Amino acid sequence: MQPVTRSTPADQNSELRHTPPPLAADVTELERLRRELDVRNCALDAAATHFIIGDATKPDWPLVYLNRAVARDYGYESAELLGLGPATLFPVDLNQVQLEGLAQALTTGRELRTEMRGRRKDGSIFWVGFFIAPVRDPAGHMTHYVGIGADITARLEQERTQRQLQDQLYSEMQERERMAIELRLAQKLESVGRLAAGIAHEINTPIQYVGDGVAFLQSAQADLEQLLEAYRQAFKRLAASEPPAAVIQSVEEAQAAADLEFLSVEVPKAFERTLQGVERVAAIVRAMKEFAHPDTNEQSPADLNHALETTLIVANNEYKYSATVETQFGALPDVMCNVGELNQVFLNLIVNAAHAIQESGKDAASGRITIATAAARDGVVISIADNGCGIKEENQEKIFDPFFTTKPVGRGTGQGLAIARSIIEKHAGSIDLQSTVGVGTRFIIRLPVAGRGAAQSSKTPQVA
Amino acid sequence: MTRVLFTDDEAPVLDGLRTRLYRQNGKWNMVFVESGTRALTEFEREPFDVIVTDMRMPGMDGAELLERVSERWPQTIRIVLSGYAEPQQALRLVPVAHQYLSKPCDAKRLVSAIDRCMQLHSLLPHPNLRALAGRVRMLPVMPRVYASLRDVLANDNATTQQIAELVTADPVISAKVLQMATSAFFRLARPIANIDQAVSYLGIAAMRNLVTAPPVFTPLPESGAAGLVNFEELQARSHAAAAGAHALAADPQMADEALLAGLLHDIGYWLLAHEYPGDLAKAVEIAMKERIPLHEAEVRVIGASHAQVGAYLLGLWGLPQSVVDAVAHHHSPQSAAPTNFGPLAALAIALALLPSDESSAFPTGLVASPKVDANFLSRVNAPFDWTEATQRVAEIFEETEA
Repeated sequence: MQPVTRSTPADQNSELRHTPPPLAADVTELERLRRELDVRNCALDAAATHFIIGDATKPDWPLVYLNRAVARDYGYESAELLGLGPATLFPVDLNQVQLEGLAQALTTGRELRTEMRGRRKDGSIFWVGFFIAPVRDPAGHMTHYVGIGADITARLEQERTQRQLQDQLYSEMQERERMAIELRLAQKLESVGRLAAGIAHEINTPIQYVGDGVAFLQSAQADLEQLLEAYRQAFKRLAASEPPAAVIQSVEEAQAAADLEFLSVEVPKAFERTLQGVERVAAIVRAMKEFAHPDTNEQSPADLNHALETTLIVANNEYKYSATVETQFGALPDVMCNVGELNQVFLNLIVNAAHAIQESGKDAASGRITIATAAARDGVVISIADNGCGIKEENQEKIFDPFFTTKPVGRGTGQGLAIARSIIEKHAGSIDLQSTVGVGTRFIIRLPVAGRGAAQSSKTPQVA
Repeated sequence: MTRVLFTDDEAPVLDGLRTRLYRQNGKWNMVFVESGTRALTEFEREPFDVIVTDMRMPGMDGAELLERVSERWPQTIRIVLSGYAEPQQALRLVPVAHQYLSKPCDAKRLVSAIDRCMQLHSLLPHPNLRALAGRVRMLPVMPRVYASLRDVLANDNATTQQIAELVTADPVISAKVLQMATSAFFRLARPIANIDQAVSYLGIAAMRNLVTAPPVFTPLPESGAAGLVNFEELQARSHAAAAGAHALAADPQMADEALLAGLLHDIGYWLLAHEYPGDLAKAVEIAMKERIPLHEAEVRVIGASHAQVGAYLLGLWGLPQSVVDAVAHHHSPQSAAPTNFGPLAALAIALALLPSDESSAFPTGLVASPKVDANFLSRVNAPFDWTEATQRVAEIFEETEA
């Protein structure tokens, strides 16, 4: 700061005005100083940076020096500004009150950086960054202040753009996340909707024959009641010593009218069928309740063979017209898991298998879904295989990607396998596939018995 | 004896029906089979009057079975009895099934549906005619209405009101929409006689499927043998008759049915023009030459009139019985001997009061108005006299013309 202070035009001018004419040696010295000063002034005027020096001893801090960049960027002649306070250049951010605040800051502190709105002569506004420092006399009193600044509109603009981009990126990420959640929900709703329709069919069928059975039994009971009445009458008539031949004939007629032979064959069967139908409805409702295990993050031990059976009952309508299911269940230890989530995985895989079989043109007689389970070291292995159309090799990697689907529009959201994988990974397990086009596909799920906790405990095998 | 074949892949369902319906044994000869293939084998042995089938079955499903039956044994009445069908499957049934019943279905409802269909035989006594009616796959509709309906449905902002208005402009589309809406399969299991209601029950998506799915409707050819009927004129006449019958109705329920009877009473001409254009042309020729009413000439050439053919189809589709009766007897209300004032009487009176110049749908003088007079009004206990009827109908005609 010191050299700048010394070379201010004001100082220089006053020096010129008040000192007596110099001696020859001094002239040379003066000439050298002047040249030096000219060089510095040129340098300052050549800079794009704004330099101002103001007199801090006067009330509104009038400018005593400004370089060409200031005059040019604010649209003034240098002479117009000299003697005016900085508030002329910064009317928005530097009114009298703010100026006093600034003075206070400079007096106590040493220097400060600020961003202000500068106003050009034509009234237009632009942003400038300023570094302002006090200049003190030997006694330590502030006599001048010097400001070094630059037009930062472009930088601010860039920062603003950057910030906008960041915001945009952030909101896009949020949007993606929201969409992912919505898609998961959509997939869930889709499978729930499909299941509900399938279950309606599954339940309506037994309800049909339960209803028919009960209605039949009701009419059979009425018929038998009439027959009983005929027997009672026959007893009465026999007791009244009517000729047996006539009585026997009327009983035989009543028996024929009631179709007794038919009833004695069909009534027990109707009871059997009705009970079996009620049991079938009950089994479906039970399976639904277990399948739709409430969503919690808690894991609890579950028998996955039983979970697979439950899913098969619930999804019966999804596969029974396209494939026969064969189960090869091995003895399994209970697995720590969220069984409701695993059921969703099993359902997705079974529905996919049924679709793959439909795609291959096979029917319920030739289509086969094989579900096998086995215990493995520290875990279980579940395999769900079909003899459907198979997956092309180039698609085998992609099928776990969200949105990837080879099914026609409306047949699936393309989220099924992506969700299956994320659920299995949440259980610290793995899901893989083997597939050959035209032969079939096998999905293999491996799950640790310890569930989600397995990831940590695997580092310390003794504990596991 | 009525021969009925039941097909369902679930043995207990068949056993349930067999025992439940055993009282029908004297009237019906019933056979129960567990697959579509077995059903066709039974048909080969001896055809059936009625087939009742499940939709979802392994191998051949209900839609495929009915399609095959409709080709080989078209006179058989085809009924679906199913627990649930996805919209895509249900749509496959539209061209081939006459009625859709939904499981669980009370046996009484099943019996009455079958009995009603069998009673329709009296409308078309000749099995060949029933076969021809049963073979109708593509339903002929008015080209202008069909095109506008497709346009409106292609628009995402279509309203049910717009759609219902266009549906009402063609009797075949109206009848098909009512058939679907009446069926438990697509919507509610109760008879609907109101087209606006039917359209809103079905919903726009189902309407779009019905109209844009290729195998259901086909535009009537503009020229050729069918060109001898001016369908626009015929339709205008039907609308006038509908408005008149509606104005004469005694209560809102009857008003709906009377309106519908008016809209649909000539639906038989749509089918005749499409299925028997040559015979219809011959009937027109005979009617002109011998100066007899066209419907009598139809009976002579084809074996049945447009009224019988139309009523038969509407009956198969499960439309309200009173509407079917009105359509069947609109040329001969006296012989149907109605003792009460219903849609038939209202339609017959409205037709009798139609200005004669409204009948330019055919070469002049062919369409005979039903013989209805003051005596007829008192016989059916009409709640108005001849003067009042004339007045009420005239007012409506003026309104519709204005």
